[in-house]
Amino acid sequence: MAVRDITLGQYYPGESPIHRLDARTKIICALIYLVSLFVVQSFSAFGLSIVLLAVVVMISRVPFRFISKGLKPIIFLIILTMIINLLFNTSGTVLVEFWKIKITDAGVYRAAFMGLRLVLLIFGSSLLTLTTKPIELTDGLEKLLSPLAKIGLPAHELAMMMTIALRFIPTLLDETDKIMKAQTARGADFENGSLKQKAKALIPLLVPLFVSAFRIAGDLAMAMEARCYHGGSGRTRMNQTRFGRGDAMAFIVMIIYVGLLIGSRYLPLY
Amino acid sequence: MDSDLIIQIKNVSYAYLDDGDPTTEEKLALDNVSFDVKRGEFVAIVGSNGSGKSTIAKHMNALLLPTSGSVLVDGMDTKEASETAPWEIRRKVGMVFQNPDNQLVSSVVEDDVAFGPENIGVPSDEIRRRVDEALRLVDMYEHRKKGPHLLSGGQKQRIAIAGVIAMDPECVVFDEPTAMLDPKGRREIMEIIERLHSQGRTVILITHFMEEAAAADRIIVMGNGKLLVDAPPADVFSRDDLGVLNVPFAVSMARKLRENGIDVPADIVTEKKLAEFLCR
Repeated sequence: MAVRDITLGQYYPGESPIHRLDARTKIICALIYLVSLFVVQSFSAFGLSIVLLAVVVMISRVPFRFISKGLKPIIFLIILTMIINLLFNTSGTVLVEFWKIKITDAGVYRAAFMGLRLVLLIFGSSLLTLTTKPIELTDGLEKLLSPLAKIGLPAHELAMMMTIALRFIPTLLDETDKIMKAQTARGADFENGSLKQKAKALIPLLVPLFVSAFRIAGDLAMAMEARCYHGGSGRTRMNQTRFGRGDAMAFIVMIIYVGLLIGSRYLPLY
Repeated sequence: MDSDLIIQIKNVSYAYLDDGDPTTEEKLALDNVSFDVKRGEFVAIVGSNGSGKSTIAKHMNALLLPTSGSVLVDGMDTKEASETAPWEIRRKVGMVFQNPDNQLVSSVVEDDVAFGPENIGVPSDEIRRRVDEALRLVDMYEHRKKGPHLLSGGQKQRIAIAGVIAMDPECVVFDEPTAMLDPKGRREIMEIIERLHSQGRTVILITHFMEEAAAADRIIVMGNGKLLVDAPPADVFSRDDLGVLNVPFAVSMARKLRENGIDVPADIVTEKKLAEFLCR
């Protein structure tokens, strides 16, 4: 089935210590790491970020090509950012000059800097989704957001919505496939024609898909009610996540990392 | 209160969606239906489409409330309970629906089975124990870490059953659980239903298949929202006035044997019993 081949989330199954960390730990550490990349001002401090990432990748045993896959969709954005920085940064000594364009040493420095920052951003965030199951991610988010439930944030409902969305993606893909085949059998053409024609051809696909999505939602709501669902209050969980030694270690590493980064700002480094 | 009755349905009528227009004639989905279900009984409800059999099923766990009349579950009135805590009823009467795909909540099998017990606040270790037990009961333990979309229809339906069993209900209502399954899946589900019944749970099975209904202690035939017959399978199948029903193979076989002079007892309605009788 063509539509089914889409892999969702990009979880890389494994049993490494990184995989076993509590999802909350991983979310917080990833956030700290991403923020830290914007605090960094020098290449030598970036060296620290790279070392940390490399060590985590090594422990997680996720092959490097899986991580670098995340770069593909935004490689253009990275290159564009680098070119803009290269061309429009006019401070510093001029290295090359032709026509109206001046390339300065500060420009080269900024371009490399921004490129590296973007790459690390992507690597850092994809490492989170590569080592954490989508369902654990939503559970982790629910627990992290639960203190905010007091000020009216529907943490449980948000997590439940994400869980159900994840669960029904394959079902809706199947449904799409079915409708597509039924419409093709009746002469619909999804493959040929101009872009406008192709877009028009999607209408007889989308309308039944929406109708069936609503029907499925109705069925599911009924089934959830029948299984005593009545919101987040009074609910218990089968999988009690608790902070282990690994989680404590992860936080200590992150604290040391942030401490070093902040320290590096006061040192005369490049 | 009769303590040996788990479900009491008293003069229940139900009208779908009053559209507020006084000129439209009210169509009753259920018309003055009454019957009781004893603890540990296996009752089958049959009838053609639109006969009201699914509607009556949804009354048994307060998913629908009667327009008039009352439904008592273990002595509790569903109308009163639904105002405060309908889940007190639903933890006693679990329900398995027709489409296995549309009743699974989580993308991991064991998390889905845990959904019900989590909702009623069972402690974590106890949920773990119940989930494992329920999955073993439906022979799906080795698939516990999989995603439901990787399973067959019959397997998904078994997961749905496990999800209900994990709530440990006294009574399980099956609303055409085999309608969307292939013959193999249907057989598996029927085996599990009989297993549940032999454990002492009350089973209510709504079905189109007379072979499945034949396994019950009692068959209720519905038609046009009314209860037509409420009798043991042998009596139901011996009646000719219920033309809508095609009798199971074992019953027609027994009839033919009788015509040919072999005295088959009237209570033989399943293939298993017929085979046992003939092999004696």
